[in-house]
Amino acid sequence: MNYKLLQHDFRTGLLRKRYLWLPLLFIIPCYISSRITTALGMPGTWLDYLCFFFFGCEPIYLNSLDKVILPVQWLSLVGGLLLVNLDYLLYDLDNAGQQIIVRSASRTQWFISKCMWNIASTMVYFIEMAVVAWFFCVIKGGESTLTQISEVSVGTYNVAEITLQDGGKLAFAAILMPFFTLAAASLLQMALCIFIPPVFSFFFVFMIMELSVLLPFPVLMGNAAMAIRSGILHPGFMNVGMEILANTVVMVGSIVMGAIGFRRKDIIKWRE
Amino acid sequence: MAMKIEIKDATKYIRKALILNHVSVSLQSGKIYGLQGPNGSGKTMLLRLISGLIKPTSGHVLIDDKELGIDMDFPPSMGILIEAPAFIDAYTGLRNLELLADIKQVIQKDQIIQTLQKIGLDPNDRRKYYKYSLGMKQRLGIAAAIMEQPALLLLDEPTNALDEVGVALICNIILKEKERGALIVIASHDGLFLRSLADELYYVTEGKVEKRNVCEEES
Repeated sequence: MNYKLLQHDFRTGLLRKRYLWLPLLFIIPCYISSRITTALGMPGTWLDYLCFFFFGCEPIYLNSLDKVILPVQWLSLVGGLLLVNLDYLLYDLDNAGQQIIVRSASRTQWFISKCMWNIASTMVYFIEMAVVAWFFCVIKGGESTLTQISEVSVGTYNVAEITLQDGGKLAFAAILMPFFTLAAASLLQMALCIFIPPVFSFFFVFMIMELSVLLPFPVLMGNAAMAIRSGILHPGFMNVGMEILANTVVMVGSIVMGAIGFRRKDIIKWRE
Repeated sequence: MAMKIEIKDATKYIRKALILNHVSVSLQSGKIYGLQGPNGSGKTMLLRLISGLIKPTSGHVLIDDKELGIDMDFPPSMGILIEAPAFIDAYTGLRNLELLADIKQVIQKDQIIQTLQKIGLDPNDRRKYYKYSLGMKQRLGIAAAIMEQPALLLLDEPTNALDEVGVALICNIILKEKERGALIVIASHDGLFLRSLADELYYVTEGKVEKRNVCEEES
């Protein structure tokens, strides 16, 4: 691994202005969450707020389509991340990255560095989310803990298996799994950008995520990013092992496919 | 330092459009090669082909008998200025060059400063890159290409946005790079500029490359 490439990607890729706008995306779920805490008459913990972001929606079955309510908040958060990570690879190739890549002497190393950046960028997205949630939690007088949930989460998730001692379980389903899934989805989107224009790769991946809302199969990766569908919280729903496997396959497949594709790619301005 | 480049019957299609048409050229160190031709004739694409940024649809590019794209991704010692120079807007010229030099780590800060001075830029200029004029950006692009004293120098329209003094300075620098033993390929639509520098002149039109005699061109 060439750490100089990684340094460049972190420097140029993570300091873009679009990260400054992200808190606006996170304020709405936090506001809704704070309304719930107010209604329940108790301050939620920091973990309560975080677990609300990727709540998602319960599985939709085709025989009950009249009751379909799309999880707008979840789709916005997924779409937001995909847009943030959409065009950096091609943007960099059109700019300073061209000077970098000829000095790096390796297309594969350059692409791997972009994959590392992509995962780091997803991490920044979640960190910003956590910071906004922390502010709301503090303002509402809640406890700044990432291990304890309160009655707020128990009420929000409304799942019999959740108790106040299940903070770790909930954090896994509502934070770690969405992070892992979105990192995989974002890598897939970046790998597709090598073959098709970025706007198409965005819509392709976003369609998979939308399809996940309608079809509750573990192989459709979006299911793993909806905490309410997690088999950990609700044993009858998604198989977590299958979800992890599916996401790992997407992640590794995207890196391999992207690296092979990038070795053959002509580096010209992507609009040419 | 010595380098030999052979392009053997290279053809390039991009989205079914013929960009380079059975190009065969042999280039060697210590010479300046000029690529002349109208806009869209394929000069820049030929530079990209030599640099490894694009791959031939058919044919081969050999760098010291090793095939580009198979034995190596990019020529091992190369400086490029292809199309418009591009740097990180938020940094000064010096900082941008330092970051680039940091990748290969073959030169130190004082050599970067010398290069900037040689090209007519002030190393102590605190202005960010985005505040540079077009001419300053062009000079910085040339500085990035030459600072590591590469064996291969590819310059695409190097006189763009430069005034007469700037053009004379660049001519002087290119000749010094030649004396150092670099293999230099310059693409330009400016025939006069090319004829004043090139040892061999190639005319590029509709993807075809024809060798021209420099003296004939002058007459």
